[in-house]
Amino acid sequence: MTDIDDLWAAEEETPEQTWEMLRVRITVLNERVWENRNHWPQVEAWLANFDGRAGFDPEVEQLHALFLLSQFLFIGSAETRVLLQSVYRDLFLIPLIQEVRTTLGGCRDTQIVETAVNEALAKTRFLGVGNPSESGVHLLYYFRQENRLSKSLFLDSAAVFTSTLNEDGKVSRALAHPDVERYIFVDDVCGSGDTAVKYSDGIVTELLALKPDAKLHYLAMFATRQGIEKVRSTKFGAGSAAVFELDDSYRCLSAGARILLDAPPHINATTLEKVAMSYGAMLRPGFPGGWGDNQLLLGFQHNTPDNTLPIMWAEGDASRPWTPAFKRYAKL
Amino acid sequence: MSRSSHENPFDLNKASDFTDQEIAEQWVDLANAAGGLVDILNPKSRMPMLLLGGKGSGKTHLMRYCSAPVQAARYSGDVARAAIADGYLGIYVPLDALNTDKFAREDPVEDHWSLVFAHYFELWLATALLATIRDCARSQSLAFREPEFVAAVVELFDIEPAVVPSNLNELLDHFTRTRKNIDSVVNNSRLRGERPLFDITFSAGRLAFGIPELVSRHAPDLRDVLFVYLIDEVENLTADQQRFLNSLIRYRRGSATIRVGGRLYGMKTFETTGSGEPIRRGAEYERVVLDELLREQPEQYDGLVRSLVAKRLERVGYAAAAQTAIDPYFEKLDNRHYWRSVDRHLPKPKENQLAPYHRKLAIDLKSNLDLDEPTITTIIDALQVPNHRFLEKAAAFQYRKSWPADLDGAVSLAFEVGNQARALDQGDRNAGSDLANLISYFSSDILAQLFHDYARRLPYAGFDTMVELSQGITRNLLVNLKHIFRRSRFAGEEPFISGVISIKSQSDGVRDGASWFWEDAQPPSGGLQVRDAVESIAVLFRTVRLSHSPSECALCAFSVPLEALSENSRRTLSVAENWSYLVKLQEGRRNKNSKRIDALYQLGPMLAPRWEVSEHRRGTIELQQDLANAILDPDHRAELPNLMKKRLTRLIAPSGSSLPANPRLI
Repeated sequence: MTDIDDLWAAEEETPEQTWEMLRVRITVLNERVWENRNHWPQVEAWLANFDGRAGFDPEVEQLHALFLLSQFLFIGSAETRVLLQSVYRDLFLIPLIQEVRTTLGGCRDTQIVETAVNEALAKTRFLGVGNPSESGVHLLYYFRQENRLSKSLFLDSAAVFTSTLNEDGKVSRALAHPDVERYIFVDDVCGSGDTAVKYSDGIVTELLALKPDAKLHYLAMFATRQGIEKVRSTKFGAGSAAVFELDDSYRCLSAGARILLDAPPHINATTLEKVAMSYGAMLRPGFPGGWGDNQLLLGFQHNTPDNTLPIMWAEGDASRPWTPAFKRYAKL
Repeated sequence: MSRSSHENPFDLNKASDFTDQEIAEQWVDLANAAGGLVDILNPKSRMPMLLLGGKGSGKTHLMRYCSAPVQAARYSGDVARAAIADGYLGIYVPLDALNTDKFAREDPVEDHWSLVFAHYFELWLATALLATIRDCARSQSLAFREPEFVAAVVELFDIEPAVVPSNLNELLDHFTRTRKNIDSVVNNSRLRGERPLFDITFSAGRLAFGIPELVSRHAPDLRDVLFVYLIDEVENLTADQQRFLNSLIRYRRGSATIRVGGRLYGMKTFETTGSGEPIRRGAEYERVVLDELLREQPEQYDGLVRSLVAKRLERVGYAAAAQTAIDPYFEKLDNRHYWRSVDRHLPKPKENQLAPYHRKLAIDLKSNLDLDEPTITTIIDALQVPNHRFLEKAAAFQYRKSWPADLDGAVSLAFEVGNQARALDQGDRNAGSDLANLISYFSSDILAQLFHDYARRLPYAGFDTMVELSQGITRNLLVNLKHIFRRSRFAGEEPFISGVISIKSQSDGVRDGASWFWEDAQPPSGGLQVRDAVESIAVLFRTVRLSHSPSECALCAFSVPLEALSENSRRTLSVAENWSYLVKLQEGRRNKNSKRIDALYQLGPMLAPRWEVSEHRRGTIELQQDLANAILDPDHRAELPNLMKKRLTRLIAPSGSSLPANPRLI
């Protein structure tokens, strides 16, 4: 700070200046992070959704919407690939090596440890969370590429079991690969934890009934803290983890939201919440703050999770059209 | 080959990033000068030259264009034919800091180290020369007595090599091995904290000037060819190292000469080795400042950059745009009918709400003349020009410049000025002549105030504006265009394909360019104080521009009594000039009181958008000694707030009013 700073006119920053600053930020984000998905005309089309229906001047609503957009955390293809490396290396492989060494009495002989790890890996199968058309499964392709894993280590969840028609006409279920000891379920994001719970109650329960000593892990790139804790309380157990655990500060409309810590002038927390939730309620009446009220501002190159604010990804319908900023390809 | 139309045509803007082929392909020249840019370097003249210039002014491109590989590219790869046809052969030697640093020692430098560098440096030049001569000798068109030449070169050495080279390849190998040996000895001696020791195998100047003479003798076709050492980036040499270079300039002889390229501040000394007597400009060397030269020939520069832009567009596949005039692709503020068009760049007026300039005026009328509300309303109503905010603002501007002394004057002035503005709106120039006259001087400042009143950024638009902003430095233009292109793409436009590049994209782009320029130039010593000084000057200009009654129109320059300034102030000005933050205008300016010619500096036009000051060379203010020292000299900095206040109070308050206690910068 120079001594002539004292002479500066203490003019308050105008809303227009905040708008301009956010526009500059979005220009850079679009170019450097968002893989050029939202040029300004697309941004304007999205902003046009905010037309005063939340009870403020459209300009005020659009300024707050622009601020939310400027805080959107987009995970592009390069970042996804690095995160998938981290999922494998940090959440699976390193703990496995530690486990193997423990069973070998703390062995330091790299050859012995490597052999044992390879044996354990051969008895491991990676599965995506969801059906083959969903993002968890979609990620497995990149997961295999990035971690140079053999195709034989991957399973579709339908291929975990075999069904045999008995003479009495009943179907008996068995494990298709009884020698497999570990099942690793890979997901992109764990928001509410509901998907994992559904899995735990379904396929995981059945799997454990057939092989009670099977080791199960649920691994994700991102998870809310509440979500991953919920998963750990299921049959997936403590072996569940995420590369990024998002604490409550990532709930963008909450009192302690990190995006508000350094919010620019003319961005008001109450207005922000009202704008996001009012339109969110119009778009997704059951979960205006995103599924599980996670209030995330997160999206991937392959899809936007429903835990993110619906104003970012929802498409509306004929009666209430809505142009999304980061479209979600929903499960039908 | 046509490239993707999505590629930014202006991404590459450093000559060092280009291959020789690209240097040749991307070359553009001055349109109307007989010898073009090459004549500036004048490679056929034996007189050595310092080719200086701001960063990105094209020095490297020009030197490389005159270097042997690029010469050869112009003659189907035949370097000998190129040399004979051009009358010179360029030996381009970039002074890589990594290579010169290892010889650098702080002053006073021991003779030992000076000698080591001098020997190495000459070997460096000779190796580059010999490599070029070898390329020449391979030419089918050249008769070259190689064995005799090689034997003669060996004779130049004081110590004969252990294995005597018999051909050019072996000779070049010998040079290269000798250089590598010195590299190794110097690198390791530094590690061990010892002085490097090796044999000095030839005397200074013997190779650099001796070899070209031998070429003339043994390749008769080349006898009229001048060998030009093109030594680039001289700023990487220390003062001691430059002394040897200066000695080579002084003792140049025969068919060899020297061109030295560098930044404005590149030459740290003009002294030579030994006696230290400096080399003399005019007698021993010429000095050319490339960007200054181009600024002095705006039409030539304009043509040059237009050709440059066309080449860039063509290169990435915008063929149609490359073949037509560039201006229509850049939207401009339409100044017809007194800038009526600016209305669409401002927020829509709100019903029952005064325009911001009228709001501020109402406040000043109340506090300054103590007028009551009905009178103020009458005055504001009288100043209204429906649907023409530029003229309405111009009327308010005129009103402030003629500030009334009392109530009666306040009302009558409002009607007088308002009537003029409305007359101009109706196209009656006679009835509005006073205001029209004021607008002709202050239109850019009225625009700046109008945008400031509405908290909108000031537009910078039009290709001619881009040329003006670049301050004679081609890279500045390319950087601005690079940012304009990316801003335009983000805005959903199709630059150089369809439509125009919007004013907003252009303005955003030049502001990005200004940030780059400000951040990229980081003077190494005292950089912070220089930047503080430049910022203070810019803020002063901006405050004057946005003031109640600007004293100068389009203010962008200041004059100072250079001799009366402190040593520190002069140093600050010199560094700011060297880093192109300020442009020194050669004409100077006559001091109003003493009639002496003061030094005149313009704020670098590239920086103008950063503070929204004028990029045009028009308005100038005089900085008195005390204020200039307070701005430029850190030792006087404490006096700045008071002096700045004193200077500003005359401008920012309505005349005749009591002076505000606390004037503010904007």
